[in-house]
Amino acid sequence: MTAIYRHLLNLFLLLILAALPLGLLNMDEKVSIDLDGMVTVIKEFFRGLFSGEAWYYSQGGRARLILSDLVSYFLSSYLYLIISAIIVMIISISLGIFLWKKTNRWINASLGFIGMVPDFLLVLMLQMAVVYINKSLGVKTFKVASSSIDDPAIFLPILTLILIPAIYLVRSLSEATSEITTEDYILLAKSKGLGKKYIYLYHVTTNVLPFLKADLHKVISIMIGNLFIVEYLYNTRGLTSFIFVHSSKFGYQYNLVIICLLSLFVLYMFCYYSLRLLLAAAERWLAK
Amino acid sequence: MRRKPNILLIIGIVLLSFFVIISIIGPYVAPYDLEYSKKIGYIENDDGKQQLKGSPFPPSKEHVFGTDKWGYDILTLLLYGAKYTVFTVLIVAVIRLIIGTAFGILNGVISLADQRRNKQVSLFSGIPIFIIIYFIMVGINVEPTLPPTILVFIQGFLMTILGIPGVYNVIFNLTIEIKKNAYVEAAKTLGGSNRHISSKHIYPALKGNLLALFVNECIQVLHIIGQLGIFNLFLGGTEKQYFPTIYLSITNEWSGLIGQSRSFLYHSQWIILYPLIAYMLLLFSFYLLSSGLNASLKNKARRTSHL
Repeated sequence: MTAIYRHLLNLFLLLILAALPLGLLNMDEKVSIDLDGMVTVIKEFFRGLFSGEAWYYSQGGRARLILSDLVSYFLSSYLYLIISAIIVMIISISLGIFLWKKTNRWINASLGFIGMVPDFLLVLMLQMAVVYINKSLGVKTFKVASSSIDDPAIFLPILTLILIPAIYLVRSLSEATSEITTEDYILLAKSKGLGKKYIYLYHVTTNVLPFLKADLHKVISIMIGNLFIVEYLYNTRGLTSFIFVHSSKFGYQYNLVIICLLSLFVLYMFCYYSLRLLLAAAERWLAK
Repeated sequence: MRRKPNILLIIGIVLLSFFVIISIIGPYVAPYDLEYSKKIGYIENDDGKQQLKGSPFPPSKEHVFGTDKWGYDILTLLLYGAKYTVFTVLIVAVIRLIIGTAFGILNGVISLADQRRNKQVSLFSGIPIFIIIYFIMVGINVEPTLPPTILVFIQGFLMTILGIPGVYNVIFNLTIEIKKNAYVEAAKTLGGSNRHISSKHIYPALKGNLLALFVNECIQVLHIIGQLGIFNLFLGGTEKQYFPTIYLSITNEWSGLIGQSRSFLYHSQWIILYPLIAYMLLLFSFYLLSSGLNASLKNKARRTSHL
């Protein structure tokens, strides 16, 4: 029951948050707080939900159904996210669990620093590097940004989405692994004469996976945060760019922003459960 | 045996104090006045071979870091903007830490259940902090009517409020962990009040983590300021100019300088390069501090691996 109240409260806060750009403005040399205006906007949105108006957004002069466009934006965001999330998991499991011993101090330190560089700087630096390579060597390597819908930048956005969460996860998993390898059941397995590979696969990995599951929420949160920056700076198609690009081109539309923000939550849940499904499949395969 | 000095920590402290000093004395040591370059910028100037050229000027003896598109000296801008970046980060992190720690310890000591609280999914799970601040600030931060200091204060306040839950959760979980120790149990049996236990047993054990957490918070705040800068919400206000539409930072805060010169990625790269280097160095000093602190924390006894 409390969970329902919590979600309702959050929904209420979200409705207010999205109305703030319309209610908290600079007007005639001072800041005006237009509470009535905000309430009207929210009321109108709810009325529009039933009359059907709220399901349309204007694009220049014409009105378009939000859902018809939203689906493709959603899918694009989802694909970028899930592909990079799967690569992140593969990297973090293989590096975090199996190679944790081999990482020396300097590699660890430099990885730590890259993991700490904010996403937007990473994007800017990658773009600068590509431009520099192009200028000095004359080689076209990767697209710096998408120029049109048919010609999206793929490599750099996915690389950016992978790097930061992967480094975080590798470090956290290798920490968990070094904890687990001190446990008694590992010693027992070793004394029974089981091979190293076998112990890693069936004793260590199965016990590290719960840590990975616990970290999933944080990883997806980090990745969606990065997604805002990535889609904006690489000019790729997606949910988050839908909010900003559209607002800057055709003015702020309350219903569009609300529906986008809600579908961000759907995106989050979609990604979370897709990854859980994959992990469950992996566990099943290990248990066989 | 003499202990090896913690080099990372020392370099980190030196670098950070350098930035703090810079941000205090910055405006006094700046080679140019903040307004000075403005007048010069539009006039054509002599280059090495008596060639007429407009701004931006590449780095030279007169302008060590070069000038931006309008002829402002980048070093001067950086020196003037430093105080906003450095002090906002430090102050916001301190307040986040104080409030989060107070509530975390208090609630941790009082709570009976000793299980860690799992992260609950909410509608805001998919919305990063900087987007929340974006929605609140977008109406008042662009072409502001409020003075820069008030805008910095508002943004700092928002960053503090939204960051407290993170600190609170970490401290709460650590407190629950420490509470399991026998000495806390003993103090409780001997009749120690909650206040006594928090101040004499929990807090001293937490001290080491607090510094590491502080550095971590500094890094996060720096991230948020930078991310907002990418979306043209600069700390202290955004000046918007039309035809062509450009956004300028009023306070010349560092991530604002990065954000406003984002289009110089492909030519005249020094305009974005030097603010970027300054920002990265500040980040690097925090990184050195955090890894130095972590190294000194890890001296606890640790079991050896069996594999």
